[in-house]
Amino acid sequence: MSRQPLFVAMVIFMALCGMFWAAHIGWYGLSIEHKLDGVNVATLAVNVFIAYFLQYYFISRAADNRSEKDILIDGLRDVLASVRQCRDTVLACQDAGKITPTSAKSIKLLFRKIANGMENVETAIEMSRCSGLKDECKEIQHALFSYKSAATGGNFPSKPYDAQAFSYQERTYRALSEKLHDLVFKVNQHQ
Amino acid sequence: MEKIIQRIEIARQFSDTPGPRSKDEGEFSGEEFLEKLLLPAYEKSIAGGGKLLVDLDGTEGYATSFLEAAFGGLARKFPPSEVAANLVFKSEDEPYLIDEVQGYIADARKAAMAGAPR
Repeated sequence: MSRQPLFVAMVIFMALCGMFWAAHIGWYGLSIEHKLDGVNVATLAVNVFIAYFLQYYFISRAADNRSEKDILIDGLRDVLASVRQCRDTVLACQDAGKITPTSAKSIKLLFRKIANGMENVETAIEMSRCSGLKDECKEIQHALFSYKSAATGGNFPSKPYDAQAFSYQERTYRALSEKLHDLVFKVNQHQ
Repeated sequence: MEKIIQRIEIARQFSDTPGPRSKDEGEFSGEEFLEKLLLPAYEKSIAGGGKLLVDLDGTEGYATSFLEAAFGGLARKFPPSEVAANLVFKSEDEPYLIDEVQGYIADARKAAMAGAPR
């Protein structure tokens, strides 16, 4: 824990003591007026309230926000990992020049995992304080659909991907990846 | 309340590993599913004045080409608006698939309206 706030508090306290001492000895004509002013007392009470109670509210709120963001970011991280894994499998098929039944099954399962992961993230976003970002999820679903169409459409899995199909896959993959990263950054920066 | 006349469980009645688009491309294709199960069940449900429930759950996943060949294919054989109105989908494993399939039916509808060859 930082000692800086304690140091600042001690400096303020010593300055206050010094000011009272100066008023007590009448330094430069300073004096202490022994009377209660309602407005000043109320101001003091408000300041004490802000200093000691409101900070707890903001700290707990900030902690809640962070926890929510961590949950959402973890979900998005899982989705990103599955998207990368899916792309690796698709690339392996491209390199091999064929799509084996095992690869085809793996690609379909990964798309299923990605889509379900995004459903979970979308539901969590709607429940969180970041609910304003739910439209971003719709865009990601569209990008995911484009990538899935590129990877499992056409002649999948009977014929290997040709150069044109591969180029389209890469474009749709990058678009999906960018949108996922963008959502991670937006969740992280959300106020 | 929708009156369900027919019901197809793809994983149980067809395959838990749906395959490619057409029959010449491999086993358990979308075309095969359309011919063997979807089309007869759809015709029975239309004749009975009810709807056809298609249960998409329980499989290892679907390729885009399979779904397009099956449901887009059905919407190319019958009026797409009729197909959209008479099919009910269940997909708890992958809820987004329902939108995807409806998208293929809608695309077939757009193609039909534009006068594109079926």
